[in-house]
Amino acid sequence: MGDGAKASKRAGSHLRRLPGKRPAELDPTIHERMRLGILSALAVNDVLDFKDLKGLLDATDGNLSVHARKLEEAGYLTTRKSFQGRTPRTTFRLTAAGRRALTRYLDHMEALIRAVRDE
Amino acid sequence: MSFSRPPLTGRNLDLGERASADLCFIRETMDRASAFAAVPGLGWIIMGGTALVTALAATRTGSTAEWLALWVVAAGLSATIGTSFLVHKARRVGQSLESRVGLRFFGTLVPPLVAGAALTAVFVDAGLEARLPGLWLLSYGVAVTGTGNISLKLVTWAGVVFMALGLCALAAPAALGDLWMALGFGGAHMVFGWQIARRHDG
Repeated sequence: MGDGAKASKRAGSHLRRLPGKRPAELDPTIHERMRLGILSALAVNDVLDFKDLKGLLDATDGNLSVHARKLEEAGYLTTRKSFQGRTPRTTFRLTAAGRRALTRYLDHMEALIRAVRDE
Repeated sequence: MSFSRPPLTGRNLDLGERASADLCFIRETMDRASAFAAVPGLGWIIMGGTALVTALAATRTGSTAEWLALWVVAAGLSATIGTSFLVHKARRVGQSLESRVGLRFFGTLVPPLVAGAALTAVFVDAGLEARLPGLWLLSYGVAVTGTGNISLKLVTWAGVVFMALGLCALAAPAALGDLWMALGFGGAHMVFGWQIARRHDG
């Protein structure tokens, strides 16, 4: 089990133990930093291309590809491949499910902070 | 029914810290990603070409009023070209001009230009038309440098160059005004426009 998944499980179980808190699990798909970064960047841009996203997140080609594919498989973003002249161009767009997942994740983080602060 | 609260442990604090760090990361990423990417490199190249032609024509004008009118018309034409290309590029890259970052871009760009226009009237009234190239380059440079903070890094450097040329124009003999205009509004626009177009998709 990866760090993200472990932390997700810990956070989820922590919330479950707190009175009045929503018993929800952290979404392991976006708990990973790179994937969280991709969704956050796409949340404020209708479309971002591979090059811009790579520069923004300081990622390598391989790393960004792998994480973008995971998000695409989860239905959180769509990928479009096209050509600009002779240069291939890959663009990403956040889906409604991706936006909902990010919002849920933000809510979850805020709830977690409140819970720890209230203790 | 009673609940037993979990003890305040280091692990719970770690979770809170991790959540705070995640929220900071999301906020920072969104801020960085909100850069206004629709600065039109191609538009800048054409604006630069317009300025070069105008600078050449300006050296042949017969009076100060004619010189001023020529540059004012060129400024209007450049503004139209720049805006058209910007709108087109924004549409192409999927960025709304009415988004928060779009509004911030215009909110940063416009005030120094308005100040420059107001001071132009003051300079003309005071008979300081020969110093207008310095004023125009400086105020345009301030506007462009400001937008660089929410836009492409290259734009910041372009703004700095405009400002430096403006200061040079104010310090140099007034007769060289058109040369500074050609270097700044012509040359700098074309050089930076070409770089923006090449690196940032038009």
